[in-house]
Amino acid sequence: MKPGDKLKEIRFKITQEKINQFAQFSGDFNPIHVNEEFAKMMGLGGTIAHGAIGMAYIMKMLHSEFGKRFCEGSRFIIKFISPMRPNFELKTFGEVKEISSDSIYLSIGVEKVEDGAKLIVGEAWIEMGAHSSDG
Amino acid sequence: MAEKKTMKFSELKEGEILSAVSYEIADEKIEEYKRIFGNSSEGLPPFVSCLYAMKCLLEKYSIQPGTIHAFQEVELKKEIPLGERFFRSYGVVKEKFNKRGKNYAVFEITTEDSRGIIVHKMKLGFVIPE
Repeated sequence: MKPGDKLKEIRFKITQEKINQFAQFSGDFNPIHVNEEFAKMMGLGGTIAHGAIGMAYIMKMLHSEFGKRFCEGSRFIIKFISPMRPNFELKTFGEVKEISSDSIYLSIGVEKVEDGAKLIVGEAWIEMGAHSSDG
Repeated sequence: MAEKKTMKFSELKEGEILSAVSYEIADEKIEEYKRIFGNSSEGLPPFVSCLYAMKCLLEKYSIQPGTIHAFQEVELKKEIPLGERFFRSYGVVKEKFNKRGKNYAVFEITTEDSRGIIVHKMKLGFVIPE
């Protein structure tokens, strides 16, 4: 792995059905996610997906790439900068920015497939120290 | 159990404790995760554990409609072994501030496994309507 390398993206589509499924899964029925009228009243223009849906895909991408190293020595920070709306076709992104003797630093996030507009942006650090098989 | 309060910016206090909550993550919840996000790994996906950690916040407060998840920081410290399902999470109101007319509250939540070993720490930032 070297600076400039990209992680394998995960593509997903936001649908109201997926948002409702996630609301059920998480117990987060905040009406900005599930009530079109309320979301409009809040000035959001319609329902928006839970930011955690994007976070789940980012974590899945990092977990797929780094496995146990992701689970046992990583840190990431993400900002939800623009709403994920129903019918958006999205993908995760991850790019290696720096590698040191003990860690990998990446930019991560979620962007629209259509035009690359960033909706979630962040950074991740993966420790690359030795891991024994018994943890 | 104390009655839940609605989370209000004006009533949150920096340093306020979110009492420890113990819980079991049900296998059904992991299956539900897999149905939504696809089957990514054996055992417990880290995201599911992070989501459950919110319990210590949600046992105390109900989220005010219109609250927006603004940012999140996660530090994963220990892989959760296959079969591990019992956890304990606790937290604190780390800070609250107003930026560009918006009320932000940041919560720090720590999760331990059944042996008391920290598996992850998180900071969650919310924009709260009032």
